[in-house]
Amino acid sequence: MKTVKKHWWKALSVILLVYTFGFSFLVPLSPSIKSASPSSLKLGENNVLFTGYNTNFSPQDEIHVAIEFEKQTLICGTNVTVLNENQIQARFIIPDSLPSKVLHVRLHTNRFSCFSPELIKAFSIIESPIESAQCATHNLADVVPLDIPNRLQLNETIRNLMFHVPMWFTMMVILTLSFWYSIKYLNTFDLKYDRIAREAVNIGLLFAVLGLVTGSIWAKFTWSEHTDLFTSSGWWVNDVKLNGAAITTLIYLAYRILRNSLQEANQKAKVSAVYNIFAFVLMLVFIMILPRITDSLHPGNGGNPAFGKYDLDNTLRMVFYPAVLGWILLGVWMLSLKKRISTIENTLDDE
Amino acid sequence: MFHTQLLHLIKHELSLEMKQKHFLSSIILYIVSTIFVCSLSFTSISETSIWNALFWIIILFSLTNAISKSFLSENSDKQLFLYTLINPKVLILGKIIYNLVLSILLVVLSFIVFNIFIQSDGLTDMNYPLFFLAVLLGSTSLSSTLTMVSAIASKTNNNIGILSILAFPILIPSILLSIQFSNLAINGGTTDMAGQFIVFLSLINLLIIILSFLLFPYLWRE
Repeated sequence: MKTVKKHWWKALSVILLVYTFGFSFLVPLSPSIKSASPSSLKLGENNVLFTGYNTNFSPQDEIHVAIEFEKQTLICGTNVTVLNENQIQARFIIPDSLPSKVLHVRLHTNRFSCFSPELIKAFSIIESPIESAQCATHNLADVVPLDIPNRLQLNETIRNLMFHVPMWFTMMVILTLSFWYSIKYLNTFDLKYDRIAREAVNIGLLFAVLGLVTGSIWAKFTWSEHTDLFTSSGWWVNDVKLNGAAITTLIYLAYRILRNSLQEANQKAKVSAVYNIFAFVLMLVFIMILPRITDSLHPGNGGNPAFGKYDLDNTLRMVFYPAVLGWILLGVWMLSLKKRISTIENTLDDE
Repeated sequence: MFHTQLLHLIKHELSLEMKQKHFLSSIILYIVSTIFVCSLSFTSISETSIWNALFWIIILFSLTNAISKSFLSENSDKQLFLYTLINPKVLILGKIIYNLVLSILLVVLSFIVFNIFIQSDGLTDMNYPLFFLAVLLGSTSLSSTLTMVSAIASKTNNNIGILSILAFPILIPSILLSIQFSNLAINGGTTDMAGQFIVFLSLINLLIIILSFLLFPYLWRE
């Protein structure tokens, strides 16, 4: 009973991480339309070819397509034909009075419903108010299947959300612990706390490196298409959050170098605790202030660095929050192990 | 008590500086020759943002050089003597104020030399008072951070190398803010537009000084 009381959070961490891995690698992506050609419409008759992902169209499917603008149906598609499991063709007749806006096509089948990427109406002769049309939409999908949202640009890489983002959360928690133990050390001058602060920095750095690597891979495969927005497109872009991550890594690598260049244990502890506190507070300032004055590629940015603006849907929330908790618990678990190892090493050195 | 100690300390630093004139002149020569090397490589910069960034990078390196010695020049006997005489909080405040005055002098000097050697056509719109406010706030945060970190670095053997490694990552927020702020001033911005830069930079400065004030006694008690 005592063991359960003491170690339940470790078991929780394992369960949450197994759940995270299982969910994010086994659950399929929701069906979606990835491209439409031609991507801009002209007046009169248009035959548009839609290419989907995970759609599994079959001739038995009942498929409806309609052009929408801000959730209002404008034009219904006719002659929907299934070409193969991921491609359909539909015909739209564009009248000369349509709001000249960016339009979407909504696609309904009896299994799912999704949006196409933006279709741009090439020109409009008469700028008219929106008149909604009524399309035949019976037999809609009423059961929402369990799947991971399929977003433009992100595609399958959205699964990385459960790994990349929690790395930073865990790093911040571990580094806050390190900061806390440095303060504790300066209050008590007990070398025990200094050892915890040191190990926390090492583990924080590990998570920072993992966050950089997962983020770098993610950036390479999603942002590199945005070449019109950013001059560099590759493993690294000049983004405020990336700079924050790089600075954090540099600060704590410097902390390690500072420790290594001091000899005497008490002096080492005192000087590095002072630097840890000084650097941590200024790093927090950086993370709080700079996103407010510069824009970022990351979601939920452009004025607000706070969490909560990530456009997560309910399925992602269902696994994202457990993933964050699981990774944080794992980090704390690693810290407690490293702390015990360093205590043993210390006692052995003394003998 | 506190302010008389402070005044005496600043006077002491000043007289020390006057005695070792070679140090100040070496820093001035460092600034002039750096700018001269830059002017040979650039001659004229058409982009004002590059002109501005180059100016701040030169300031960063010259201030790092100038402030690196602020705790090094004191050998351990004298440190022990100072420790018995004054409060460490006074000492760090005195050092910060002294280094601030020194860096403002150096920055103004570098601005004059930089303006002479490296021309930029886009500088006609410059809002000079705002630009100097940016330089003042920026060099305050540079000099106070560098003072505190040089106190940390002085405990190691490799002072100047460690100082750059420790200080540069911490300095990035203030450097970035200062560069954006002075860019705004160069492009003819007004004080209303610079509101958030003034607030953020002043907050950072205040934070750095409070942190140094709280943390320095732990370093000094060695």
